[in-house]
Amino acid sequence: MGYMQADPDIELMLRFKAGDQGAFRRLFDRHKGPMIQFCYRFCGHSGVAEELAQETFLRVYRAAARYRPKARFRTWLYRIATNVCLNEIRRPDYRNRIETLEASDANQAAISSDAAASAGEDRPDVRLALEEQQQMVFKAIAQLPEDQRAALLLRVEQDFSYKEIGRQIGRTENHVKTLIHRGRCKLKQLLAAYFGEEP
Amino acid sequence: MIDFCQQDQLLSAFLDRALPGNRMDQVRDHLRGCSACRRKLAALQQTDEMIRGLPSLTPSPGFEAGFWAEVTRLEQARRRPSWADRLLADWRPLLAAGLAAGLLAAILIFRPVATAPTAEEVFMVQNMEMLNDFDLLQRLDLLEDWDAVQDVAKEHV
Repeated sequence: MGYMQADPDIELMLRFKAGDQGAFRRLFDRHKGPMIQFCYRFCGHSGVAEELAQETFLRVYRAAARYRPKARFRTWLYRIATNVCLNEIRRPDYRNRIETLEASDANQAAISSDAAASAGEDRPDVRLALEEQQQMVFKAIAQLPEDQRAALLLRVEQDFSYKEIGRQIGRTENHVKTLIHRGRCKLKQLLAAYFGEEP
Repeated sequence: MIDFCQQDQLLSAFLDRALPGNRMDQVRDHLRGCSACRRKLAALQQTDEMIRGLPSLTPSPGFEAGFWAEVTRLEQARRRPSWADRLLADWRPLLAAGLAAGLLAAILIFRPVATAPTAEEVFMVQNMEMLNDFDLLQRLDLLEDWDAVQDVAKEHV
């Protein structure tokens, strides 16, 4: 039970459960940024990522009455987020939805340009190359099997341990280790042609 | 003796610092002398860097406002009485009148009603009358003066 003393988020969640709305607002403010990033990497679209992040926090809000700390708050939070993201990508119309949104969305280019600019790349050709690379990575992530995608993003993006990831996606630690390794190999294979490497 | 070159998964776990201490040292020692495994490890690191290098997403201006609006809707829905509660509240006077009418109807239906005696009841009553006559007959002392009684009766007729 050491995580309970070490995790101030658990204290905030318990205070929210007891009726302190301000405690929930602090949790939301603290986690909204990383949560949107996680959902963005998972689904590859900014608008959908915000919807998924919003749905995750609403589920947390609704679950407060039943909340019992059994792990770090972040472990629980990202377990919910992973379920929300997996539900979304399992929807039969998910692919069509993303393609429709991408076709009508100039937002994507704006985000990539911002990222390139923030990386200090002012040259248009370098910026263009960076944007292309990022789009390729998004597409490669989208091609990963869903459990590999979830495990890899939880590890690389959010730095969860294998044990925590096992709790989040309902797999054993050894299975998580395999999923992450296969995810990395698959990603490397999918991006090999783009980077001029042998698959 | 582990053949590290055949254990790619160990490299992933090494990258994630997910091996026990002595195994971490063993892999580190192996990497010092194996350029093929160093290349594999570098490729795995590169995939991680590509994921981490994806652009950051700044929440849109409407994200936060939209979320809190959803929370407000959720709270309103919680406070709103259920359809059963609302039905009870709106129809309470009619419901009370209906209950009173039902009670009255039950009283009228199940109240005791005077009916014609059955054949069995008539027979019982007749038997009781006979019993009374029998009581009179038991007064045998009257029979002793029977002739005198008859005389008195004739005089009255």
